[in-house]
Amino acid sequence: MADGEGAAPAESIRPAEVALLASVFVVAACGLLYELAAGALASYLLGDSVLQFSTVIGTYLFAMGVGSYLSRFFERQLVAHFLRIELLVGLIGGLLPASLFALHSVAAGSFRFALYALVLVVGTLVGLEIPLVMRILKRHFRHRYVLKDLVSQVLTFDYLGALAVAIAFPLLLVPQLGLIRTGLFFGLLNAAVALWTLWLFRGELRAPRLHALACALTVAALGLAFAGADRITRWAEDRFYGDAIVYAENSAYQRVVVTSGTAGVRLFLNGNLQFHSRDEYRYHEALVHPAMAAHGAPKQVLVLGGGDGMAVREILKYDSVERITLVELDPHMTELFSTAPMLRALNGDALRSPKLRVVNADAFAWLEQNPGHYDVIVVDFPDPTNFSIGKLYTTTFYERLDEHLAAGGYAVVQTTSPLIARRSFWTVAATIEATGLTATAYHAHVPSFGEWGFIIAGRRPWRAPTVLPAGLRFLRVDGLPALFNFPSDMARVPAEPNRLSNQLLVHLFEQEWGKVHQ
Amino acid sequence: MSGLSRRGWLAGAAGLAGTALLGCARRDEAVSTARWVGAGHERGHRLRDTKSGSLPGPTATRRAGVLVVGAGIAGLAAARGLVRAGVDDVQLFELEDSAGGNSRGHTMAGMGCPLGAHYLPLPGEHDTALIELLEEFGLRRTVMGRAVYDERHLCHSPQERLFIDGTWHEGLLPPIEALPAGQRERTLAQYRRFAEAVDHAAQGGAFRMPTAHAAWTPALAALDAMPFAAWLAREGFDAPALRWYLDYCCRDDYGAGSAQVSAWAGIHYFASRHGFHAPGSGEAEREGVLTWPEGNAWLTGRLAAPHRERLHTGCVALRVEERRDEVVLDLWNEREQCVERWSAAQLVLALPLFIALRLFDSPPPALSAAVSAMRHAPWLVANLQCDRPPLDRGGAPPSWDNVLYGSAALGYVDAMHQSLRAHPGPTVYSAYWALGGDDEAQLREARQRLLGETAPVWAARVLADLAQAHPDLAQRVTQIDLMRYGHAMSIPVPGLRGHAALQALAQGGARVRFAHADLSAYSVFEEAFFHGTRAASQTLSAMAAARKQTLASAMPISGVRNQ
Repeated sequence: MADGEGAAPAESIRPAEVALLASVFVVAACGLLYELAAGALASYLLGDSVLQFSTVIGTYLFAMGVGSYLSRFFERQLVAHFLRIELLVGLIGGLLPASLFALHSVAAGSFRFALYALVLVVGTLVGLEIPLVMRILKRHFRHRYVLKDLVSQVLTFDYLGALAVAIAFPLLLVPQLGLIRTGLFFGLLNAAVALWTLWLFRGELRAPRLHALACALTVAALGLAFAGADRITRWAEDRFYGDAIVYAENSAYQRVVVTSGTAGVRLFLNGNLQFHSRDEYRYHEALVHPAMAAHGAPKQVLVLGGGDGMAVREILKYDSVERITLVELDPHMTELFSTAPMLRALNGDALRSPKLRVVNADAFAWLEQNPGHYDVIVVDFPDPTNFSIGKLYTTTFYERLDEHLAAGGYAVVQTTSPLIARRSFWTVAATIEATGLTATAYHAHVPSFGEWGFIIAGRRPWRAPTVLPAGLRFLRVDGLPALFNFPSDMARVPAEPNRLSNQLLVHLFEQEWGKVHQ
Repeated sequence: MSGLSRRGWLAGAAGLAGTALLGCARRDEAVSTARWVGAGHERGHRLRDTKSGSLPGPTATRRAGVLVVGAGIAGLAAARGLVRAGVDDVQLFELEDSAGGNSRGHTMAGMGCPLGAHYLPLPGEHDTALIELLEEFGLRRTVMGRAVYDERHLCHSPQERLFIDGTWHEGLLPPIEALPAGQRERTLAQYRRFAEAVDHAAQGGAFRMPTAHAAWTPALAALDAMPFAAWLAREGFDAPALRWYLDYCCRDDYGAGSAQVSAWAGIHYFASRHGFHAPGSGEAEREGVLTWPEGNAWLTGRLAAPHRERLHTGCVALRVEERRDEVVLDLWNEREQCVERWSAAQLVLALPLFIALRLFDSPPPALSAAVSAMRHAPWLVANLQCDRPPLDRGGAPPSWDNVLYGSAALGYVDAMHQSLRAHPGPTVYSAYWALGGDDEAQLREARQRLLGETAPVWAARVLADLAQAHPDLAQRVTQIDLMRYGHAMSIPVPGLRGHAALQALAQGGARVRFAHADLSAYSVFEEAFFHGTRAASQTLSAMAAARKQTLASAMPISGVRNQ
């Protein structure tokens, strides 16, 4: 390193050198930016940011290694090769966020494949850049540089460029330009380096006009995309949800998106469908009435989760009900569903009922801290996709439910799909039974979800009701027995109780739904 | 040449930017405002100062039935034993501002977190005294002859994970697949062989907790005579992953590495509890442990609750004198800034033996002998308050105990892991660092650094260690509270567990009894509780005997006849 070979050639640096070193700066900045953009986009669309970042960075670094290896096979026409590589990097890298975003909305299944393919291509091209620049400098300025100085000179600018982007990307670029425009902007910078090279070496290049044309086309393509970036974004999100988005906001807990189209209104939490107005009545009637009607005269009712007010709407169909307590974690949800006219029409203004008390709290903690007994408890939590939510499906949680059930009371739990996640479903039944409660399982078909499952828990054995409230669209008294009959492909399987100390359900759930998503 | 360094740089820069993007930069305020908690070693060192006669003499003498010096687990267990037997006149003295010793807790932004011991393994069925305690606290019930624990207090799943080779893996034993290809076969074979060695050693209940429940055999004495590392070398256990793991276990439980603890202690760690499970042995599911956000302070709180009036905190014992008809205790009352003298019929010294030694003008020979054979490990516990969970590298999900392979520290536990909330949110990471090292020189140097260097210096060290696994941790941390122990626990060095002096001290004298985990040569809740309970029943027997004598002398006729 420090053997002091060769004095610094500080004086009279030629413009061409400055230009090339400046382009090293830009090239390095662009190189890092595409990597960051791919990582950020993957974490935005797929979640699990650290995993996405580390796999994208790993792939990118690998591809760069391949690129720098390949660079040795370029022997002649180095400048022309460099120019073309710049254009390709600008085009592919610049359009990477826009194209991936669009692709995710049209064909989400092939997103990962396309992501890594593009990262490999861009990484390889970026890996080619610096070795080529180094050799161009060496060839053209041989008389002025000792190799070591050259390397250190180039690497200095390389590092400076990467550092500039590393700092600007999160603080300036993404907040100001957005991911799609940031990508395109840097694509244009790559194209500018190509133009600069073209002008600098205009005397040496073969077919300079063709190269000029290629530059012009690239700049035009990137420029057009830059101008229309907003339209691309909107188009892509609308395509992903299939309908126009009427409401989209990030609360402290989740991303809430409501879409509206010819087929109806849909609610998505973190991209997962919660209801479709076309068939949500099937889900909510099935969730609420078998327990409510069987109780006879429910007065005090507790709803855990279900901030959309649909379950409350069904509960309000019983005149005996005196008071409903709704415990929903996210105040955003209850606020939205008690104010937006379109959504109030859907839940029949249930969230504004004088019988209703809304509590925005964590259900588990709330149960631990608030004594009180309820004739019916409706549990409408998200599926156990992680260990935090998994705690709401444990023996300990059902023991708390048991403590809050009035004599003769029932709790009903939404319990994922017994068809797709059969072992998960029966694990919940086994968990409820492990606390000494009786578990009565049933299922209903909800087209948006598929075959869906529910379990009634109570100390009193469940008996089919003989009367249902008027005005139901799905349930009929004579149709109830079919709901409680499990065909062979959903029939009970042996299962262990899910406990806080083992969280079996989360593992099972992941396995069973993982197969579907593959 | 350029390719490699460039790639390294890009990876680093990308990490930096990704972190900043997702984490929103914050300055290192948490490090610069890091602070020590606890009473500070100055108070404890007052005991040394009294030798020079710098303190005023006691003004008046107060009397009590039994004095208990030290309100750690052993002292609290002794007080519990006495009060349960109907002895109300017990006075309990503690140097710190709260009871608990190594089982104290702390609060940050309303979240409980430990300052020391943070879990209790489920006791074996032979430990009836501890089982009784757990049942009293509602942690355990017996249903149809089977033990049932309250699930809220059992460690929730997932329990443990290890950061190795850039990702997290379930469990703490380094997984074979994460090791270099050349080491895998040998390591797996040694895992299996070590499991067999532990099973073999554990036969017939040779290892138990508390250790006094197992007979001290020549086989155990032979193990106790040599360092664990020497035993491992002799038995051909040289796979780096296995050796790292065993060394980690020793540092975690005993505060010092496998070169310093005895082979008895190294094997006891596994053979007395859950055993050692090689991968694929089919019994990987480790036994449960009880744990709480504030660690074993949960137990301390319940043990101390009945003694509100009996407990005197901020009291430094200065001198103990055993007389013919009483025992006298001089202590420095920090709050009143004066020396107090207490007199009682019986006294329990529930404090580390090296401190007990300083209380006597002429200490019992066994006490001097025991102390000269002991070493105490310094410890650091850093509580890092996070505004939300830091970013996680891929692999196994966030767990209760999170350990970094190859690190000199012990990883961290997530205090809010036991919370029942359905969404991850603010939390406290309690990072542990045992500083006993591999020999006495390292130990001394570490203690000097621990007492000499500032809280921000140590906070920065802890952050740098954990940042390998959580690149944005520094941005997430809002406050760092550090607890340091110059002499946290006795290291079970070779020859200590079987030392005759420890057995002699456990017997006790006429009026003074010793109750501390030091008597078992190492520090865990079970041992402290055992010695406290044992000292209480010895005290009760001595009091009963004394009462009989008093009764006898009060009735001269029968007294004469009985003699």
